[in-house]
Amino acid sequence: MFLKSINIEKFRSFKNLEIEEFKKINLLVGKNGYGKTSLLEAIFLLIGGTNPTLTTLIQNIRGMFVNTNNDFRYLFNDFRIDDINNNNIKFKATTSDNKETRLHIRPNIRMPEYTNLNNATDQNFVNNRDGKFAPKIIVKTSNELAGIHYEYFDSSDDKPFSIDYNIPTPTPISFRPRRIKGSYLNSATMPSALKSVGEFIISKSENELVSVLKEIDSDITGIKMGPDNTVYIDIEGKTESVPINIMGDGIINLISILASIRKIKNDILLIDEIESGLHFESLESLWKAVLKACQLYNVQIFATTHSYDCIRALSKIYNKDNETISLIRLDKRGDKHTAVTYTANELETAIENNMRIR
Amino acid sequence: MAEEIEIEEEKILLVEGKDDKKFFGKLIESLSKKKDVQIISVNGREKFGEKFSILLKNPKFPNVKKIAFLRDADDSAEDALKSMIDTIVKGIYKCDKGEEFQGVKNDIIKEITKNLNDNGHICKILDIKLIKDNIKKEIENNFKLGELGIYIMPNNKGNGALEDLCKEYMELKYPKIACCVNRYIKCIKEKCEIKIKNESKSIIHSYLSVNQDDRPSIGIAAEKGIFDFTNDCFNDIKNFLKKMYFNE
Repeated sequence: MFLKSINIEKFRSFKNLEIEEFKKINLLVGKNGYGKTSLLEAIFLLIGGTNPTLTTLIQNIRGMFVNTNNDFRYLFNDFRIDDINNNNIKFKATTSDNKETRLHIRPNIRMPEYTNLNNATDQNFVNNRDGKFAPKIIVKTSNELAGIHYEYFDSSDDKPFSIDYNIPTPTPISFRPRRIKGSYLNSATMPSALKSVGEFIISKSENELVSVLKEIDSDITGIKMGPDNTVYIDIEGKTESVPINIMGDGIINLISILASIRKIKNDILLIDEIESGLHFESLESLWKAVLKACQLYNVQIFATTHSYDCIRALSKIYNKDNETISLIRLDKRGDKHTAVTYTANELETAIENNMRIR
Repeated sequence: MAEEIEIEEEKILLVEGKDDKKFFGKLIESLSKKKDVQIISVNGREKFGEKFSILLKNPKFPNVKKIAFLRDADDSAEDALKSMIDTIVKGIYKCDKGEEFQGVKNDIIKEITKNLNDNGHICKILDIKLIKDNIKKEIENNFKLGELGIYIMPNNKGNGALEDLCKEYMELKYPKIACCVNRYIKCIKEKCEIKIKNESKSIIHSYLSVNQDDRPSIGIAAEKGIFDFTNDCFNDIKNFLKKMYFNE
C-alpha cells in the first residue's frame, strides 16, 4: 500500500505541511533543520499508527532517549503541551486505493494537584456563593506530561483504535495489525537490516545482490550468511570470505537497503540519508538497483539526501516516467513550511541546465 | 560540474537562446548601467514552459518582482503571444493549487491578452480581475511578483524574428551593404538549387561575415559593438524594456 498525499499538523517543527502527489520514489531535499527527517518520522508514525512505541523508537534513532513521559513533549510543535485541544499532532494521508488514514496524538497532562485538606487552616476556607463556609480548593496546575494518547482511524475498516501510552509501559501493548506497513532505515539502523540478507540466500536469489555489488566493486563474487547471522562477502582471488563489517559503510548500507526493500514487499521504506557512505561514482548504481528492486517488490521509497550528486544520479537513471520519481524540496518562510515538488521531467531539465533545485 | 543557475535579481528576462541572451544583454546595457536585469536563456522556445515552471519553484523566485518573456514571432506574432500566455498561465496555475483557477483558465488567458495589448504587453498580475481573491492573496503573501511582460520579436506583429530587426538595422544604417547582400541572396535563390530556410538569417549572417572581425552570430556581434542601439529601428523593443524594467 502506498501513500498518495499527506497532511501534517503540529508535529516537531511543522505547524502545517501538506504534500500531494507522492510517487513510487520520493527524494526529499532541503536545508538543515527544514524538516526532512521529521517528515520521514511523521510518515513512519502514521503508517505504524496502532503502535505508539514508535514514538520512543524515533527518539532513539535520533540518539535521544525517552526517560520520562515529559520527554514526549519533543514530538509536539514548539514543545507545547499546555492546551490539549489545540496542540494535538494530526497526520492524515490518502493511500493509493483512495482510502484515508489518520493518526492523532494528544498530550496526556498530569492530573492537577490539590491541597491536602487534612491540614487545612481557616485560610483554606471561604464563603461560597450560597454564603456557606466551604473549603477553598487550591489547584496547582501542571505542565508535566503523563504520557500520550493515540487515536488511529483507517477508512477501510471503520473501527477507530485508541490507546494511552506512557513510560514505563505497565503491560505489553497489543497492537492492531494495519493494512499499511513500513520500515525506517538510517545509518544507525542499517546494520541491523543486514539480517534480512538471509531471505535472499534461502530463496537462492543472492545473485540479485551480487550483480549490484559488482557495479560498486567488480571483485565481489558472492555473498553468504555465516555463524551468528554475520554476512560474508566473497572476493576474487581471496581464499577466505570477508565479514561485511570490514567492507565499509557504503556496501553495508546498499545491502541493507536492498534487503529491506525485499523484506518490506508491497509497502513503504523510509531512508534517511540514502547516499550515506557511498562514493559519488557509485550513486547511479545505487539508484539503478533501488529502482529495479522497488519495481520488482512493489515498494514505495521516501529518502532524504543532502548530496547534489545523489539527486543528479537519480535524474540520470530515471525511466522517463513522471509517475515513478519525484523530488520534493522542503522550504521554510518564517515558521511556515512548504513543499515544492519537481516531476521527473522537470528534475532532468533542471539538472541538464544547472538550474537550482535544492 | 557547471555552476548552478541561481536567481540573483528581482528583474528577470527569459529569452530563447544563448545568442539572444548576449544580444539583449548588450541592448539592456545601453539603457541602464545598473546590470540589475538577469537574462536567462531557456535554450529552445519549446522549453519556455518547463523552464518557467522550474524557476517558479526556485527558493528565490518569491523575491522576483518583474519577469518578461521574449520570443520570436516566426509565422505569426498572434499565435506566439497566445502560446506564451498559455505557458505563463499553466506555470502560475501549477503554483496555485485552487481548482477554481482551472475552471476560469481560458477566460484568464483572454483577459491577460487584453491587458497586455492595452498596456504595451505588460500586465500587473493583481489587475487580472478573473483571478479570485484568495489566489491573489496567496500570490500577494508568497510572491513579490507584480508585473509580467511579453514581447514578440521583431515588433509584436506580423511574422519574423530577431534577425529581421537586425536586417532592418542593416538596411537603415548601411544601405549599400544591404543592397549587395540582398542581391547575393536573391542570386543564390534564382540560380542555385538551394532552398533558403530562413532568408533574414542568411542575410544578416552574410552581412556579419563581411565585417573585419569574425562575428559568427548576432549575440557576439552585439557584444563587439557592431549594432548601434540608438538607431530608430530598436525603439519598439527599447520602449518595452524601459517600461518593463526602468519605469520610464
